[in-house]
Amino acid sequence: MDRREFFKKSLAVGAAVGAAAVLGNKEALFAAGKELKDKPVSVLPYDLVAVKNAGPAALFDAAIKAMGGMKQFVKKGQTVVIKPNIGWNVAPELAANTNPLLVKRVIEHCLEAGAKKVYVFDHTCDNWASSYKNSGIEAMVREAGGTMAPGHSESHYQAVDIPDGKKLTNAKVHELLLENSVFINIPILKNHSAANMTMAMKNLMGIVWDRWYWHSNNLHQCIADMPLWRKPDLNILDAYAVMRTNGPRGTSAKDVEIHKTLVMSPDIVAVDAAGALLFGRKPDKVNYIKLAADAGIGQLNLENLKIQRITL
Amino acid sequence: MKIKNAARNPLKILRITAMTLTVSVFTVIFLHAEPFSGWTAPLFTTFQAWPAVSLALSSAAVLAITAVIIIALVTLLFGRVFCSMLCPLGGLQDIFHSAGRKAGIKTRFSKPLHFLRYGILAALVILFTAGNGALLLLLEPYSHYGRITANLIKPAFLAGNNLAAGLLESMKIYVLHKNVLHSLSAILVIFSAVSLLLLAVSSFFKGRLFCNTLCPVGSLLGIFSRFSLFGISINNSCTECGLCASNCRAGCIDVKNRSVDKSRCVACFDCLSSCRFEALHYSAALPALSMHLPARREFIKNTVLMTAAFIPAAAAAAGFRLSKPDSNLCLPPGAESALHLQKYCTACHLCVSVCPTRVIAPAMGETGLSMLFLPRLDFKKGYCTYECTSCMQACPTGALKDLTLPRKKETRLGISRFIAHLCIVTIHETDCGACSEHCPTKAVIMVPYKGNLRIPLVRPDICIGCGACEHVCPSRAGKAIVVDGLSIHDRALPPESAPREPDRVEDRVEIKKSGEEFPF
Repeated sequence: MDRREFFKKSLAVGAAVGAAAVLGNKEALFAAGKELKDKPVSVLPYDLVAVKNAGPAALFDAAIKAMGGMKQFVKKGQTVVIKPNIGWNVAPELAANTNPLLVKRVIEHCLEAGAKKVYVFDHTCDNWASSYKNSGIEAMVREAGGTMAPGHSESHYQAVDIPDGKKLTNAKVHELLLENSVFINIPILKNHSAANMTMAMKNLMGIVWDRWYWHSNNLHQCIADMPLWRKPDLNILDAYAVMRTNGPRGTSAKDVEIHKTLVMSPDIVAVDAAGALLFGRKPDKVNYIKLAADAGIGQLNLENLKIQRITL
Repeated sequence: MKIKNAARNPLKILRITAMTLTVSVFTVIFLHAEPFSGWTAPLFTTFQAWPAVSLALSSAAVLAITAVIIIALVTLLFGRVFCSMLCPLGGLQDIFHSAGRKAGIKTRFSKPLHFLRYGILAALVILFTAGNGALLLLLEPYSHYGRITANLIKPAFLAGNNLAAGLLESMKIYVLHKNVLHSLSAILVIFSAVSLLLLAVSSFFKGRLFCNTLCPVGSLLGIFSRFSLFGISINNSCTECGLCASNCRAGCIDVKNRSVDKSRCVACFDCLSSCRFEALHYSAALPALSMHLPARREFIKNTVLMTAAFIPAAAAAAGFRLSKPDSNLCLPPGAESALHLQKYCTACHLCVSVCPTRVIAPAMGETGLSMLFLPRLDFKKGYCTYECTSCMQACPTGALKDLTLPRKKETRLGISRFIAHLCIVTIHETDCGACSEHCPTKAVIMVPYKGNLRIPLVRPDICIGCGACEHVCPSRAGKAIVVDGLSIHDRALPPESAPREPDRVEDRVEIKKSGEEFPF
């Protein structure tokens, strides 16, 4: 390359970067999310922890203690992004959204472990302002000292590639997850008319902008593809109150059964397998769980895992 | 009350304070952006003259009847203080009028155009009684202010808000939020802009010309204020200099006869401090029981002109609503029927403005001229939220009846219909279910199709036509489930009355019921 060519190329690169910065389009300079998140994993005492018979906050206290404390996942000064299920504009009694008390407790643990900032968001199905408010989650997040972040506008999402995806090969993902942050997934276990049931993997649908692509391009395969971009650092499955039928929205509190259970693991497939069994289904018969396990995302045979079972 | 010092005119100060408050509150109500959407002020919209009458007639609401009585009494006692203190369109005109004054425009006494005022009022009353509110839509002042704010000011405001919100969000400050604008069509923007322009020109040059010629509220209140207890009058200190008349925004001071036309005076009180000789005062006097009878020729001329004004106005309004509305039209909850809406709705667009999902859109020509500008549901933009009653709570005229939430949840706005050959499940043979996922009553359930696939089934009896299914259907071949609107709303059966979705049995596993163990 001679000097002239060098200058030309530098100017072109400079102009491109400048334009990108000026237009505010913070395109992730990394191709795949995996590179951002490959942190050394701390050694955990168990692969999966399951707790039952207490209130949502107490269930989590016991679970996180068994895993070695929140400090196993959150280091001092880190930013945490929490993705509960805030999909629906319904009251907490319908158990369509994650229990607000559970979300509050998780935030408190994160802040105690030294987190600099804890964000909470969801790309809701119903109107975002009403869902954030009527689910009870916004109020609890504020009380705990977290920050509710909006997810209702396309400008909050950035395009990323998912090279290993079979059907979902790219998506627009919420910008908070593109930064160097701890990603905590707090789904609720419930019946789902479209996907059979919804748990940890299905909850990831709320981190993307275009959910309709998944519905029109083999829903189960897209659900199984999403964790290939980035696996949550921790999955906390809320099975305190479980909507048994008429999911995912529910029609009344009569659809809900109280189970007082919580399942926790960094393995998203294992959490879903445990959730399926709790619901009364064979994990390998739930399409997206089978597809994800076959792709090597996680372990669906729970006999192969070190599990701590706690009954309070 | 004699005004000694021109600078001290407490009535004028009261008027300006009240009007500033009115215009500010109404603007905020219509701008209605998150996160400040809780700032509603329903009392303000109830105490608008026409909406109060309309609400009293459509629902006999106690608050509305009280408002009507209060407005009538206040006008009978104090004159048209409503027009100078509570009417937002009056406030808007006052802004342009002040600009005109500063530019040196002076108003003059004008002859009252009784034929126009009362002809139009008569046409309006007769048409409304017959079920046609089209003339009202064109002339009612509060609705004009609403349309101007919602369709001209709000888009500019939201553009600014969204820009600011975006900047703050990039710094992780979430105090402002991005808001989506409601459906806006070119025709609507032009219509609102032309209204604003005509109003601006007429008030810049002629003050409250609209209020004393076309405005039905002005004409109606004028009938009362003619006999008001308190009014502006001129005493013998008057030197006929004409200063008051050239400051009168209503053009109602006849200097030569030293009389003020109380039916046209809007009680702005400017004249009180404009007189250098303290000749004007606002005081109580028993209304003259003998009216000044015009000469016979004058009377005949007025009657003929009134009839002449009545006919084209009536024809225009009647023709406006001759065409039948599109049978597929879906109306907001509380509308009851297309006919009810056509009678009571004045298209102020407050419901359009407050709807959280922006599903309420002003109807354009596509649904028939008879529904022009009236609110309809556009499922391309959103769907009717199950837990929401914002539109009915906002509607000040009773066009959208204020149903309670339980009652609204069983009101059928339309019925869903599945179009199998457009569905993703039939075309691609993969799972979808987005429609059933969003259905708040589970009128749409998923039933076995081929293999393990499931396909939608609509139970029309429990469907409330909220449009969530149609809105979320992702099929690129076209919406595989659509809502057929009902031109007369009826009642759906409660969700429990339909059988539950058939359970998936292909993946069942025995759960150990002992309670102490985990199933893994």
